[in-house]
Amino acid sequence: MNRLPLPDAEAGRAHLARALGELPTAEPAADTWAAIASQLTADQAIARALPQLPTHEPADDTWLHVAARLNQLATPARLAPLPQPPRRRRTWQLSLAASVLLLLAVGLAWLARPAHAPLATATPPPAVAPVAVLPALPALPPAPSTEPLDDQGEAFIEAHCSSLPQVCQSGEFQQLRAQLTALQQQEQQLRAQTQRGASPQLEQQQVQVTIRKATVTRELIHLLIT
Amino acid sequence: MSCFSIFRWLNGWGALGALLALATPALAQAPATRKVQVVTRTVEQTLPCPPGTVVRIRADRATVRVQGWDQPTVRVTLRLSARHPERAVAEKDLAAAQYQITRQPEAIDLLNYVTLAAGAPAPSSDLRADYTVLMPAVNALQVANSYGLTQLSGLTGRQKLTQDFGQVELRQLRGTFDATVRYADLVGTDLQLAFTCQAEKSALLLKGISGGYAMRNRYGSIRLEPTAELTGLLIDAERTEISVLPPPQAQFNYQLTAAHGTLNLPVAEGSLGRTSWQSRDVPKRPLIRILTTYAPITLQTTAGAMLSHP
Repeated sequence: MNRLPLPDAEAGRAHLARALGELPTAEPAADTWAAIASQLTADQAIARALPQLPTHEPADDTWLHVAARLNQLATPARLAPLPQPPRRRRTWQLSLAASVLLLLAVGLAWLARPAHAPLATATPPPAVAPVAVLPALPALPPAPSTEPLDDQGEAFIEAHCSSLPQVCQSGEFQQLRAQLTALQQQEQQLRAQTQRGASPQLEQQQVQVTIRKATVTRELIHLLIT
Repeated sequence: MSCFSIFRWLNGWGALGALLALATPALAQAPATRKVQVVTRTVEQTLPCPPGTVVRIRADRATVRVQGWDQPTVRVTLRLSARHPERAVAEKDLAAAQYQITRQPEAIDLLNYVTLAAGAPAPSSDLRADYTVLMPAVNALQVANSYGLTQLSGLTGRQKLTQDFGQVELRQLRGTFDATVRYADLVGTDLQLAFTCQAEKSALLLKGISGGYAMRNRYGSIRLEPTAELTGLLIDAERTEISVLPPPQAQFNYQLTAAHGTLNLPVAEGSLGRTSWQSRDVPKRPLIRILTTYAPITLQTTAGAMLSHP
């Protein structure tokens, strides 16, 4: 797959040193370090405090009480003023409910943090973990092998033209096959040019041709298997 | 598997009630060519599939349709077919197309293959298999297919797929999905998954996706249309064109790098001449991190406002 000659590390060292020397320098903004330091300090403080936080389970009927209170608040204001003691009790209970809600929201937000965040390694307490939690971001699979399948695909196309002649003789198939041949020729030309001197533009063209060739191969096989 | 054991196995499965159907000749497209004769054999079987049982399908040149259901059983309909311009050849070759449906303590195995007597020439017919499988949605599934179409829908367990050449269609999947695809067109809609994919020379198109996605591709293309419920996206690609169309109200953190390629960003981001761009990092927003080389990355907006580079 690798068509470019391997660069000689020693031979390129002088060019690399020169190019590095010619790179423009840029100073970060004055407040960059302060922002990073404050972020790190905050992260460390959270990391230190997290294991020491107590865990509490709300009572089973908490939501019922909260919902009942919210319903009460939603009812139209009464003409007669409420007696003073119940009002104080309601204020106290609402404060408790708001505290419970705030704790729940903070807990849920903490669990929903993206996996890339610096403290994502902290495991959530099992008491509140759902049964089947999917990772926010799964790990990447290993890099694919470089086994070329191009020949297999072309062999499949050749072999099936004998058992399915009507497909291979159709206009659409012939057109795609002509495209594949043209792309193969183009690929060879680009490869020859690359050997004389590689450049990002040449490589981009080569990539476009290879992607197009794979697409046409897939379309040809699609015609044969459907 | 030796010829002897294959024939002994065949005797064992002979009582399955395999149906031999001689299909009507398919219509030929070109009048100058001969019509293709299609000969088929169909098997139907239902097997118990308790929780924890993995369904494994090893298909070759097959259409595989798997759908989840709420029954504790697997129902398999397998049709083997041979296509050739000469009917006698198709009938002779169909005998070489074989299958296995077996139940292990913790797995149900389905596979099709071709057997040949020693020294016999390869079948000249186009031999194909067509699986229709209904299985408990929550059970694990492993599918390997080549030169065919694989359709998975309504599943919620662990799903694993290997596909060389052909099409993959995913619909209404939940749970986890792990794919290795080469020379394949993979299309997914309505997915809520922990999704990983290793692709080669393949086109991946995923619409209406939520959950976490990590994928590689080489010499291919990736187009994603996530929902606001996307929890993370990581693409490490080589020589692969990538485009993402986030929903209007979604808010993500972006890290995009197209080494030796181009970035096409919404006008407001002013991407002209850039190959790398990182959005302002806002805590708790899901991360979309994309790397590719020698090819463009396009971040579209629904308004369609784009910067384009030569």
